[in-house]
Amino acid sequence: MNGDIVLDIQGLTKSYRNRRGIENVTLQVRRGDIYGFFGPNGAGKTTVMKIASGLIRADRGSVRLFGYDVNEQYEPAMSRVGVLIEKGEAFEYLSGRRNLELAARLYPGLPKTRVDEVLELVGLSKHGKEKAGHYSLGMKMRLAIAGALVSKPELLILDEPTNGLDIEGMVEIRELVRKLAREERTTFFLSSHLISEMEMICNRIGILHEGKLIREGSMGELLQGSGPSSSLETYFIEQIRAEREAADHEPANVRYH
Amino acid sequence: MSLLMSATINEWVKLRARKKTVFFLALIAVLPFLGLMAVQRLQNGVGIAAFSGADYPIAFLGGLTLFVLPLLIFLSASDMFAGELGDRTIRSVLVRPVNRYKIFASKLLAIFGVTALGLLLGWISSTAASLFMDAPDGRWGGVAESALAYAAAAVPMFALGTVSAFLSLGFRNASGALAVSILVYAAAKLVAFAFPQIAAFLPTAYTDWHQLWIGGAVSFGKIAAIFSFLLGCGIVFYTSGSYLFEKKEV
Repeated sequence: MNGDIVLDIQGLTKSYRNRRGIENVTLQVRRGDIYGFFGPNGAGKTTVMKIASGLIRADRGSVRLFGYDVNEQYEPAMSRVGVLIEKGEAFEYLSGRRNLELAARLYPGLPKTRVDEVLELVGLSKHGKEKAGHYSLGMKMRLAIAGALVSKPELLILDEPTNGLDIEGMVEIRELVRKLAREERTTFFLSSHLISEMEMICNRIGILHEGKLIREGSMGELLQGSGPSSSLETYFIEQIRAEREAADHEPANVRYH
Repeated sequence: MSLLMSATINEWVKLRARKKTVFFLALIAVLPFLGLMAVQRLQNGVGIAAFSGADYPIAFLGGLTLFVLPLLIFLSASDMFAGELGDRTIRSVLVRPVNRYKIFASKLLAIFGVTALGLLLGWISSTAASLFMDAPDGRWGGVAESALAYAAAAVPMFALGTVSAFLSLGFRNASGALAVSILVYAAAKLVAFAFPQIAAFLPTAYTDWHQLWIGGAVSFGKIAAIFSFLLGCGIVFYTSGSYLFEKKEV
């Protein structure tokens, strides 16, 4: 059903001067999905996510969030979306709490208690009054996640949300994702280069390699026929090898890295 | 509350939290009293009255609009545009459901706000300092006139704010944007000094247009012409800046 599609990416192409970029990426995220966008560093995951959240524009293609075009109808498109791209920089001269208050002010009707709720949710309640510049890397990442959560979004676009976190922090974020998906039916579009992390929490996976979406489907669909002991890791390695072999047999062309 | 208003409050909160802003505003509040001490020393030493109490706020406004406020405007614009683009904090603003033209407008409104606050503080402080000076021709007529001059001085400062925002968008670090803004401003002042015929076409040449609002004979024709020019400059740089901001990839 079309009404269930919260993120609709069609034919996205973007090339940078260094010839990196993405080529013809098409994918859909449905309500309730935890969609894992997987690929090695430099595959183009962040580019897709930046385009999906309106930070950069594609050369070709379109992005619709809840049916709204992200370029033409930005405010309604983003009103139900929370975003964290890369490290999610905070204003270091402001306290963690003040950073969240700035974000919350841009969502009319949000209860005043929401900032406290998200501080609690990411485990920063005790440090809310400290300046963000004094936070550790892990605390900054938690603050950035709190910033993405503050509006109670229906869709969360999270780019490498466990970067900079220690093992305990990674587990907490994983549990937070599961909890929000279960209790609030929050939909996730999240990227990572950590395959085990993806395997543990995602129900759908898209594999990006050198700017192209090479495979997409539910975990079951992807691993079907790969044998009982197969994992996403072995599946991924097989797919990458197959792609490389296919590329070696193709005539020289413009390559997207 | 509209999104533009909320975004403006956010920009204001950020501006107010910066130590540089607080320092400059404190400097504006203190400078008239430091100036007063210098004037009194000169008066006692040489025996010449440099200013009467009624003229002092206007004399202070000259220095305020030539040096202090432009510097405060350049600092604020550099931090809010080039600085946020450079350290990528701008992303945390741009991913919210607020159109970019509103974000751009909110940043400029905050810069206008701090400029207006600087002028208000300067007027209050210089007027308070002038109470310690002699005013042989009466004091209170001068107070009304200086209030008008301080209000009028906001116009060229706002135009300067749009120019500075436009320039800052070409950089990804605040110090670079600040240095270039200061250099361009100084160059424009020098060009106007060396080639007075060009001065009429530079918005920087009208930082002292408040002078037109004081004295017995106010030339409304000249005021209208300069106002139109400054408004035109403001509109051109505002729309160009807004366009550039809309297209920025971050």
